[in-house]
Amino acid sequence: MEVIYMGLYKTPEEIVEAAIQEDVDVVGLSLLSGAHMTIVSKIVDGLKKHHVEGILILVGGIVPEDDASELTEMGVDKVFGPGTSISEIVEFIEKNVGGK
Amino acid sequence: MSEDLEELTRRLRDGEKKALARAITLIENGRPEAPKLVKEIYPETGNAEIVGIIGTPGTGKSTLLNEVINKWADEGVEIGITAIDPSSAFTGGALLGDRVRMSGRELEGRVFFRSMGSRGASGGLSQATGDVVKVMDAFGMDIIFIETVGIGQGDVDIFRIADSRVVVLMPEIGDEIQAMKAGIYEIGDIFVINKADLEGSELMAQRIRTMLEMERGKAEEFYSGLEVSEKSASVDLKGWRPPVLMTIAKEGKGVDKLLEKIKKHLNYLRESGELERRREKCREKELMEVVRDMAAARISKKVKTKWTFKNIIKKVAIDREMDPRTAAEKLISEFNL
Repeated sequence: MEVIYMGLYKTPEEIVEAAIQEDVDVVGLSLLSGAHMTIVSKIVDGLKKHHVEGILILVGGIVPEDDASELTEMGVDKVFGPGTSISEIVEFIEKNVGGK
Repeated sequence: MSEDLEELTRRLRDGEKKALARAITLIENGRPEAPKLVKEIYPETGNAEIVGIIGTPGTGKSTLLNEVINKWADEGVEIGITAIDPSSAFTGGALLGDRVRMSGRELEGRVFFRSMGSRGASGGLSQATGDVVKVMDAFGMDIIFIETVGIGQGDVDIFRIADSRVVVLMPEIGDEIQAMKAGIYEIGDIFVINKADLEGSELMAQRIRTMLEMERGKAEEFYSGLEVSEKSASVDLKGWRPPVLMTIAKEGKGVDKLLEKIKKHLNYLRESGELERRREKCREKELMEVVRDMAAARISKKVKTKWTFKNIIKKVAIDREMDPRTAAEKLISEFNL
């Protein structure tokens, strides 16, 4: 597994572009700012707009349950709350990657 | 060519970024389609100029490269970057962090940045990198950067793919420079001391200049005994003298000068005929590598299917009648090579 770390404060456009150029299987987003609904929806829309299909979209951070289910409806594959172990995330990726 | 590959090639020719990204993935993963793709697009390569940037982690080469790209892209130049980071020897995984320094420039125009783990197995990495450069070239990039950490022989091999080679160092790097070995003085065309605001940068520049002079002296001595024609065919002693530049990438200082030197060197390569010489050498090396790989693969396969093979293994491993080298000689001798 290779992780392309993009650093902090990237714009949704930069993230979509990186996903395209790096031909990724998974996009993992970490947000603690509370702006997850706006930012994640921009990224999901951006990926759709560029026809980037079949990739997993994961979100981690402090996300209220209602928001989490809304994100899932939007196209996010899984929301991981605080305290999720790395192995849990890895397992999810291994089980679901490429399957979409 | 399969239909999918035909389609991918068409999209690549149309300048579709997603097709370029997918083509690189095929190469990275060593997929059987990759050589077919390279074969197809190869006649369209050779137009891009390739610049290598080598520097140990922490020298700030990614930041420096980003600054150079920003300036160059402003001039309407289309740029491809392939940044290689080491993969873990245990898991094969990698954390690729070179993209962190990109400042959003990849959104405009055609700056295409691709991270690569060095997992491309033993020896295969320089071939894979060479192929990635080829597809970027065919895609229509004017300039292609190869960014690498410069530890070990593999990195030097990758560095050789580049037409122009930039070595990034920093003061107080101490033993790190040893890791890059003396060979770096022979291969570098432009030397950059980044973080030049740190103490010891002048001293370091001085030291590098001395080393470069020594290299030159050695070369001059060596070639002075040769015929002029041979001389001109090997090293161009009158030509390029590698400059040693000072930069502070974080503040953008010295970046203009670096870009100017890179352009100047590329220009020099073109006009002196050195570019063709370098490319010929590089292609020769690549060709021989592939010949070696192909021959090895084919012979191994034949050897393994021979009925005597198991018998010989037993003689080597259990009976100790034959050492591995003698056994190999015996196996190979039957192929009339």
